[in-house]
Amino acid sequence: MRKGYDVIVIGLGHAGCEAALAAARLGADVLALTLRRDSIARMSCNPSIGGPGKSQLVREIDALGGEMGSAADDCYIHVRMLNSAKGPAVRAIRAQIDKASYQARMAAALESQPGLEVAEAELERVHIESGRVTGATIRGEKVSCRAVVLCSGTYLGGKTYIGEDVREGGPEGFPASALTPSLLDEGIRFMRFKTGTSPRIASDSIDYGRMELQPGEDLPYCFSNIRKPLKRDQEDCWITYTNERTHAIIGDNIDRAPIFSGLIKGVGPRYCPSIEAKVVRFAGKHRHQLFVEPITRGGREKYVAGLATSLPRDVQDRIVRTIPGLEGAVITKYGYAIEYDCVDPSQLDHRLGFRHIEGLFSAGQSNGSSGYEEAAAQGLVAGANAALWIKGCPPLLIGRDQAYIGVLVDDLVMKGTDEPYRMLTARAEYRLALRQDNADMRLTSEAVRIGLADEARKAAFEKKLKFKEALTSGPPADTGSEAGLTEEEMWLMQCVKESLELDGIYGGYIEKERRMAAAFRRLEQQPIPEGADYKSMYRLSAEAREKLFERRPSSIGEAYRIPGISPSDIAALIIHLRQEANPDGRRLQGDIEGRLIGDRR
Amino acid sequence: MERADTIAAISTPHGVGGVAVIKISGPDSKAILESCFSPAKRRFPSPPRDVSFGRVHTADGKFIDEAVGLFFEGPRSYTGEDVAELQCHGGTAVARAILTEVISRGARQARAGEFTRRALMNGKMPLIKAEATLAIINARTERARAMASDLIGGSYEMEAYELKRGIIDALAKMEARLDWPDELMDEETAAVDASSIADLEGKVRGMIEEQSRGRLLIDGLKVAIIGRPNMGKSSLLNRILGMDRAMVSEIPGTTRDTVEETANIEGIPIRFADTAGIGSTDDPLIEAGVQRAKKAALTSAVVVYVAAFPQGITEEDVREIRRLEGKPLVIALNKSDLKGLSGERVNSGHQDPGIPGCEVIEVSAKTGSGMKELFRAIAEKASSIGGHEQEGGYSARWISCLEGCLASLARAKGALATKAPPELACADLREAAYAIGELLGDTTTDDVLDVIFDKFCIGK
Repeated sequence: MRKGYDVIVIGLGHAGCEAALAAARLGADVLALTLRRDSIARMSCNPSIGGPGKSQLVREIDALGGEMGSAADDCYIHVRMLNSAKGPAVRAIRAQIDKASYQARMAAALESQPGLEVAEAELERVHIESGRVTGATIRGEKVSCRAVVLCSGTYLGGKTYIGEDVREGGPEGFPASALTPSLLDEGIRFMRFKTGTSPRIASDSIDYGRMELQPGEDLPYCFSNIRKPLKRDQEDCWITYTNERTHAIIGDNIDRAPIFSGLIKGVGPRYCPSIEAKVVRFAGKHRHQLFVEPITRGGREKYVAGLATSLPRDVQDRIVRTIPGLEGAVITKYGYAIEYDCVDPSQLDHRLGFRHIEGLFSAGQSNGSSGYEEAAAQGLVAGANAALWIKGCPPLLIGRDQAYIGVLVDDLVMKGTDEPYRMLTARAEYRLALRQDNADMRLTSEAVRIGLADEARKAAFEKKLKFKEALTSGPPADTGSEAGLTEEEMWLMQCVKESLELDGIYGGYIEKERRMAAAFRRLEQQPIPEGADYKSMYRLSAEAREKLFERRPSSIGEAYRIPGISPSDIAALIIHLRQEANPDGRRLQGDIEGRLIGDRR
Repeated sequence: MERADTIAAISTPHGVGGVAVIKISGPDSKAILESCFSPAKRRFPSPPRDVSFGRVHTADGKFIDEAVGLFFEGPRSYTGEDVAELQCHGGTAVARAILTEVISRGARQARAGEFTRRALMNGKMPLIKAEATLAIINARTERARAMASDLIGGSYEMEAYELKRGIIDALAKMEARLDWPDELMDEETAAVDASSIADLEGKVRGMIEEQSRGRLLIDGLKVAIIGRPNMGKSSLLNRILGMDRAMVSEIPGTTRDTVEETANIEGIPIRFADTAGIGSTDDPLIEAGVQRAKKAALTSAVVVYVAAFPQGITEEDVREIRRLEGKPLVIALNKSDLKGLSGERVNSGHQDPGIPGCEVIEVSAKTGSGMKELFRAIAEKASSIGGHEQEGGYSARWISCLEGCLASLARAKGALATKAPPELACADLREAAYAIGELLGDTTTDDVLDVIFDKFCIGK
């Protein structure tokens, strides 16, 4: 380890890996820290990537030059297209990943990245002077840096629960980080969340005959926008269900469940509840669906998705045995819940940097999100912005109308979250336009602008644009041009064709969405002058004035999305701004222009 | 930065009454109150709100009236600003005198609805309530007031919220299927089908109808009474109004100009225009009146065509009636007291105007017979006209939001029926929910802001 770097990334989970790679690829000198090398890019929970909302995120990460997409493509052992009977905007790729290969693959990407040093060490303290990051204390030594990206996942103040058994520490028994207190000193607010995982079962103790087979599919494309996935033999998944007996056992032991006994105070995810939560909340439901998933190719263990739990070990044993196919199951790793500190993301701006601390960025589950894909997307944004900020370049800012990544960042930053945030297609207002198949059309130009698109990506994108041009302007059956194409180019052409077809399916609806998106943009572009004096806006409620003063929105659109600001507050705000603009319109115009130019410098 | 000025107005209607209220709102309210009101209480007003008996006087100490003075410290007042009130003896002169005094101390005469505007802009009430408040102020009949009271009481708002909830429920069920494709879909989570959307459509239609009716009650309608000379139109109008307003005389062509007067017909405020008899005439003065009459007929929502016994409906009548083609029409066959008097058969000379849906009501302005029937027919015709054909006002905005919602729901239903990708039905349902949000003022789009700015003249 040297004495100084540009960027220090804390943690090499899914957020950390993307952050470290993005920053390094943008030319920053990066030090990436992990508590243990063998936990790099580890999938502590469900070994899968994708699904509704998440598949879109991964395709976008890839379009922006991130790593998750191609790594997932290289390492999947089972893949399916979900919602294939429904419309293109809600279709999603879900892949089961070979956990071990994925970790190796990502570690290799980190190793081979110039400008990126990986070290196994704990960061004890971030140094902040006069509201600006100056360095960190690592292994007792002071290391200087200009930016820090916090990607600590569930390690801050982590506590693991299995029944009455409570241990300090992150997943798989790693020590918890003691970083929280020093961050609290800097005025950073934390929340306490909880997440859980399901038990893992010995593969040879499962009676597959009693479960429903779900084979993988051969998909024409996977997560990469520029490379066709290699065909491979796929592993199977299996479907089974809980039943009344399962629920009875859970019911009888509910007082031993940490979330119900009051032991766990952290808030769990509504969309991914533990099986005990499901049974209590949906008492009328006779059975809950479970997926038995491979963890590695030909591996000894299988993961039972849908059975997240922190019930005591003996109860887990009994529960599992009531499930068809798992009557003789041997649990190799018990399910557990983990409680952890996470940053209140409303303290961040759209670059995922803290508003009140220059150079400090935060990404991933430690921002209150859940899921590998959500973490990776944030990591890319935060890491890229750390480097861009150091270089004095304009930031990477993605709008809600541009990508799911934009929805994710905007939701976290503008609304905050009071439970682990999971991406859903329902969160996107412009869902019809933000499809997994057109991610590169929406984002590659951004990647090129900031410098995250390598030559291969640029070349592939150029070709796609040419094909699109030919297909939209030329005669329909343009078979002549297909003659001289390579196999790869044929594949790109097919992808473009499909996207155009899918655009056609939605017809006028896309137009309507575009118009709504344009209206949204207009509100976003109605700037609020830098020095807007909220305290003197007597028409606004005291609460609104407080919130606006704290959040300093840069546009009416942003102000609108601050929770607790009502439409009449917005109307009043506009009136004040218009009145301010009237007497000395030209002066204010200048301010507004100056601000816009400043942002796009 | 420029603060709002202080406005004042007489809040109670003009005319004689027990009490008159002068309301003052703005930063100078307190100072103005203290300068013209001598309270019986010591230390008045004490914050945050206070009331005291006292005397109102002029700048040079001359007594004007005894009154009760009130003060509400902003923001906890109607408008959100400092508000003062003087409740004095009712009576136009006294109230006027106090208002003049208040204005001379630095207040400005408030424009119509300005207090409510300020309440709206200061976030004291949601948009829909502000509009309802204006409605109640403008209510001229008991039915209208009752409806507006309902609005203030929030029943319409609640209905709209219920509707929004219903739409979002349907939307949520559809979204769930999209974001959790693998989950079991039991009966509880069965897909939203066309019939539940049809239910929502029914609710919206009901609200539109309610609005149209309400519109009618508040704004009323213009009805023209036309017919050939000396059919007893003025007598009929007198009878309707219950007073001797129009000129009645034996000489045909007496009513030279149109006379307008408002009557309460089954709760609907109706402005009647009595017009000079139409039909050919040589007298130029009468001719001018006749032209005005024709114009009045054109600009009215409903026309009452008056013919009379003993002639009944003549050919000339039928010609005139035909000219009103397309207009909602009621035919009043006046002077029914003369029916059969000349010994002719009732139907002789009595033409059938042959206009479908046009009622012929036999009345007698002289005896009052048939008037109730006539009122009923007029009210029915008035109600059948869609309220949203009338321009402007909050109702137009509400109805336009509701119609937008209805169109989106219809599209959603269509999308489900044609088995289009389900996310399209979701997009439509979102649009429908958004439209109700606009109605409630939940969402401030440019359009809504424009309405606020236009209607409430802010920033002038």
